[in-house]
Order: sequence, then structure tokens, then C-alpha cells
Amino acid sequence: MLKTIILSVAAVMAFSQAVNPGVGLRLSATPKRASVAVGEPLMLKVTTRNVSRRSLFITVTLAEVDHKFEVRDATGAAVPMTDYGRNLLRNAQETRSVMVKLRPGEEHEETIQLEKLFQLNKPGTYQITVKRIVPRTQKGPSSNVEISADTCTVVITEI
Amino acid sequence: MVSVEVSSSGDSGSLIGSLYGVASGGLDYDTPLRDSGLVRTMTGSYPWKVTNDFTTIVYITNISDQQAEFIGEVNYHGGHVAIDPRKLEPGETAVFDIDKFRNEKSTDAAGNQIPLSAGLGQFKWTVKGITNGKLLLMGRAEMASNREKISTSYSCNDPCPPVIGGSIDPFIPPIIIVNNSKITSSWTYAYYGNGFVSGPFSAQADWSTDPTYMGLNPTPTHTTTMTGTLPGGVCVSAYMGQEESYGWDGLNCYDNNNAYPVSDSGCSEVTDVKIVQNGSTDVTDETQNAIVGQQIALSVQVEGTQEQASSIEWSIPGTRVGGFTASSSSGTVGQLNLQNISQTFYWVDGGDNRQVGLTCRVGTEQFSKHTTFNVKRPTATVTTVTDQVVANSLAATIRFGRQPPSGIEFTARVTVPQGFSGDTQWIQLVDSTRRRRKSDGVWQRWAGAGLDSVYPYWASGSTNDSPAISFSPSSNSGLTIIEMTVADSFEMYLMFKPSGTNSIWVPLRKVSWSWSAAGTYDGNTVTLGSSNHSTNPSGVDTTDHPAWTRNAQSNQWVNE
Repeated sequence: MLKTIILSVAAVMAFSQAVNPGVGLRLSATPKRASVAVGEPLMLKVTTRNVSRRSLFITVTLAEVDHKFEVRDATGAAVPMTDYGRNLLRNAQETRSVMVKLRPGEEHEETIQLEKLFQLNKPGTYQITVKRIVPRTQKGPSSNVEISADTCTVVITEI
Repeated sequence: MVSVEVSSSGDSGSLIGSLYGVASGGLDYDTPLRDSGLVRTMTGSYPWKVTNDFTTIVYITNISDQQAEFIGEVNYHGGHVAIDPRKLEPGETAVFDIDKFRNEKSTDAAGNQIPLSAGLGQFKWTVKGITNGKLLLMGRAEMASNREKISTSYSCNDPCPPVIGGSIDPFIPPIIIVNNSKITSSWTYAYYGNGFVSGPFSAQADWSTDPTYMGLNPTPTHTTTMTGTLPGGVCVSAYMGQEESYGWDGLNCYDNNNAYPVSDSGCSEVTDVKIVQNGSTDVTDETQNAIVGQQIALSVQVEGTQEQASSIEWSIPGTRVGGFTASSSSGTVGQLNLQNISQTFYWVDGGDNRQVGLTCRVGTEQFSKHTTFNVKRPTATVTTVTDQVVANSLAATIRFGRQPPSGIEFTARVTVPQGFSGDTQWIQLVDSTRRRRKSDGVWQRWAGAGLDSVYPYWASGSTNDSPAISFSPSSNSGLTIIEMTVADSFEMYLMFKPSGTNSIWVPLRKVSWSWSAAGTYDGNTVTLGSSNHSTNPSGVDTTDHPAWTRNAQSNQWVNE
């Protein structure tokens, strides 16, 4: 008999955002649902916001490539990527590279389907940290800096 | 020509007499006197002969003091000619010279004539209508030949007048189209006791319908025009008057002194076909405004009958699609099946006075309907500004565009027709070939066409692109690339989607552009070799949707 285990897990979600001094951009990452069942899409909303008083540029290619993701399970171990995720990072090419101007207070939002990139097929609590490379000086790509969002938490339950 | 009536006040058998006609040519005619006391004398079945110099003349006389009516037919081998109802005033005699009847090609209502080759036959007649119990008619036929000095007289009767039955012919059609007309006529037949049927005879009828979903014009008449007015089931009746009822007891015929009605009826369905939009709105013969990308959902609605429409054929002018489904992996255009009862489609190009036509069959009737659209389309321009291909040693890249500015900037100007609103977005397709040589000398290739990265490419009014190749892919730590080439061709589409539910994206403009470059990298410096790129390419009008079955980012580096 198929035994279906329902884990009742309190949704734990830490809204994640961090200001990176000297850059003027703030990165935040928020799961659209704090708790999803195994196999369900885990949609992560990543927002880059201009918190400076001048217009800034970011470059948008593929959200999965533009950002770095650290995904750790409850023991702190790094969750491995899926074949799709590894292939994407290994083979992605910059055919699309859109310069986006963010005026003060404006933000650019993208959504990443995280379970396609990482092997999130086991129930548990996961910590997700998102980072992004942006130009420091905004005068060109020659001087880049990595900005990071606060770590957020998502709970994956059994079906 | 005279009729002679001899009345006797004596007892039966007390008077004997005879009547002769003496012709100037010398031929005498024996004219038998007939007793008018029998019902069957109001019928007649006489032989006729018009071969050689024979003549046959039939006389039917109203011997009463009231109007009388009769029907008859002239039979010959192979056919007959009906004699429609004819009324005789008191004392009036109807005369039929069969030779003249044949030679003048007298025609009945069904178009029958006695062929000139026919020389023998039978003349048959009977009283018709209400007699009020009186004996109204008598008749006889006189056949003579001067050459052969023969004169004969016939006054043979049928045993009893026939039963008269009514008929509508042609049958009421099962389907009558609203505002269209059909013609039918009323007829009577004479059914004799021996099984002989005479007719059809043209009959006057009072026409009526129930319910009044049909117009009848004129009425009363023999032939009526039926015009459908409202959809629904309707029955048509033709009342052809009353007939005297007779009875036969095996020996004699009696007047039953009552009457029966003669009528017939048939039923039809007044039917109409409508073009309805969104399942309920009748748009037949209507004109309305629409905009490209707006969902147009039309269907066939049959009214007045349970019959279904068949042999459906729509005609939809202009460039139109059955839908557009897009994702990061595929973009497909839906096709239309113009034989389907419902059509859901979207115009891609604009144009006024577009008549959408529908033809279909319901039962035996063919319908043709149309509805008209004035299809509006936004006016749009796309202008571009291109930069140059540059090498960046710090980033270890060769890029189209110094970033800023971008390699190519797309600026859209869209004017949406008054009364409509909507959004724009960009979709870009790419056909890319990229090659790289590793430090071990092995060349690898990354090639294929498809959607450029994401759907949509961008979701606002203007966008840009600065494609690049990188000598230091972050995901390939330890991989040393010393040489690269790129040849990318792009098609950037400006799409429009009107406000409203179920609208789709339709293309407005397309910009075809490309860039190519080749360069080397020694670990410190990127050296740009040859390069090329489009220069400020113009957008062109397009009604072709972008289509893709894969994402170009699914290309993989493979050894050559």
C-alpha cells in the first residue's frame, strides 16, 4: 500500500534583501510560496532595485545565468545542480544581452524556477542565497562587483 | 343546340316517345330520352372516336334550377387530360368536340394533351359540389360518321359519383427559409367505387397557416406562395370546399343528403441560419469594428428546426490565424478549419469592409450568410541605432556594443486606433553559429536556431541587445579558449496584443539584423580580428508570426 506521508511543516520564509554599499543596487530574493511539495515548481522571485539617487544600468541575459545561487539543505550541505542546470551554465551564450536602465527607486524583477536548476527532490528546509554581478562604477563592465541578497528559506514537503 | 326536357304527369309507362335530330347533310340522329330520376345520371363514361371522319361530341347539361359543377377527363391509350371543375348555370350545356379538343391541343393544369395520334378513348365526367339532394346534370356523347352513315349516342353512367379528395402538390417542403418563398397548389382527385382514380383537377383553396410563421399570398387561389416570416414549425392547410356525399347499396346510388369537407395540409419548418458571435450575439448582416489580435468567435446557429447545419464552409478574408501559443521552448500559430461549425480566429492584418461569409445546408436548403468587420491595426515604426563591435580584454569578451551604448537599440512607436488599447512586447529569434578553439587546438561549435533565450524577449516599448562571446566562461573553470568566431542572425519582432480577454499577440514590425566577429585571446588581451554588423537596420511591416520549436540556448558546445 502506498503510504503517503504528509509533513506538516510550518512555513518558514525569511524575506531576503541586502544593500550593497557603493553599488546602489539592492538584491532581494523571495520564494513565491514558502512551502512547496516535492515536484512542485519552486518559483523564486529575484528583484534588483536601484536604491541610489541616480540612474543605474544592469545587464539582463538569462536570469539563471545572471545570478549565482547557493542552495543548502538543513545540514548546511550544498545541494547539487541538476543536469539541466549544469548544461545551462556550461553552454549558455550571450545572444541576448539587454541593458536595463533603473531610475532611482525602480527595480527589475525576474523569476527563476529553482527546482529545474537544483536537485530539490527531497523534503526538507533549504537555505537559498542569490548573488549577482553588477558594474561597480556604472561606466562599463570593466569593474564588476558581486552583490548578494539575504538568505531566504523554503520548505519542501512530501506530496 | 338545344336541350329538350319532356315532363309527364301520367303514371309510369303511360307515355312513350322518341327524339330524332335531322342534320342538313341528311344524317339523322337518334337522341334517346333518359330518365333524370337517378343519381348515377350525374356521371358519364362514354367512348370517343375521331379517326377517319368520325366525330364525337359530348354534352353535359344542367337540368336543374341551380348552378351545377362537374369535373371530367378525356382518357386515351397511355394517358389522360383532366377537365377542371366547370360550373354550369341552370339550363346551360357544356359541349366537348373531342376532335377539336385534340387538334387544338387543349391542355390541363398538369400540362397533359391528347396526342394527335390518339383516335380512340373514353370521356368520363361526374357531378361535383353540393347538390342539395337534387339531380343537377345529365350528359351524353354523340359519335357520328357521315361517310359511313353511322350515328350513335352514348349515355353510359358510372354506378355512383366518386368521392372527392384534396391534395397539396408539390408537398410542403420540410424547410422553408425565412424571407424566402415556395409555391404549392391545391388539387382534387376523384376516387370511384371501382378503384379508378381520376385527376388531378385544379382546385381553388382557402389557404391558412398555424402558427402564422409563414405568409400566404394570395388567398384563396389554386397556387399559393408561402413565404417564411419567423423561424419555427408551421402547418399549411388548403380548404377546397365541400362535396355531396353519396352511398351505394350494391344496386343503386343514393344521395346521403350530407356533405364532407375536402382539404389537405402539410407541415414545414421555417428556418433561418444566423452567424452568432461569442455564442449569443447575432451579427448576421451586421458591421462591427475589431482590432488585430482580438478574438473573433463565430458560430452557426440554426433556428426553427432541429436539423443541424451541414456542408459548412466559412470564408474569412485577410490574414488570420487560429491562435498563437508561445513559451520559451515553442511558438506556434494555430490553423483554421473552415469547415467547422465554429470559428475562433484572430486577424493579423487590418482592413475595412471584410465580409465573413458562411454557406451551409440545412436539410435540403442552402443558406448563405455574412457579417462584416472593419479590422483596425495599430500603426507602428521601429527604428534602430547600432554601435560597433569591441574587444574587452578585462572582461575577456568580444561584444557588439560598447555597453553603453548597446549593440543595437530598438525604439518602437505605436499608435493604437481610436477606441482600442493594448500592449506591446518583443520576441527575438536567433540563428547562431559560434566556434571556439581551445588551447589544445580542438575547435568546438555551438550552433542552431530558435528563440533567443526567453519569451518574451522584452515586455516594454523599447529594448536593445548587445550579444557577446566570452573567452572565459565562468562555468568552465580551467577551460582555456584561445580563439573564437561568431555569426549571429536575428529577427526581432514587435508584437501587439489588444486589451480584452482571449486576445493574442500579433506581429506589427520585424527587424532583421546580424553581427559577426572573430578574435583571439592570449590570457591577457583579446584581439579583435574581422567583424561585421548591421547598421541601423529598418523595421518592416510583417503579418507573419515568429515561430520556433526550440530555444537557441539549448545549443551545446560540441567538438567539430
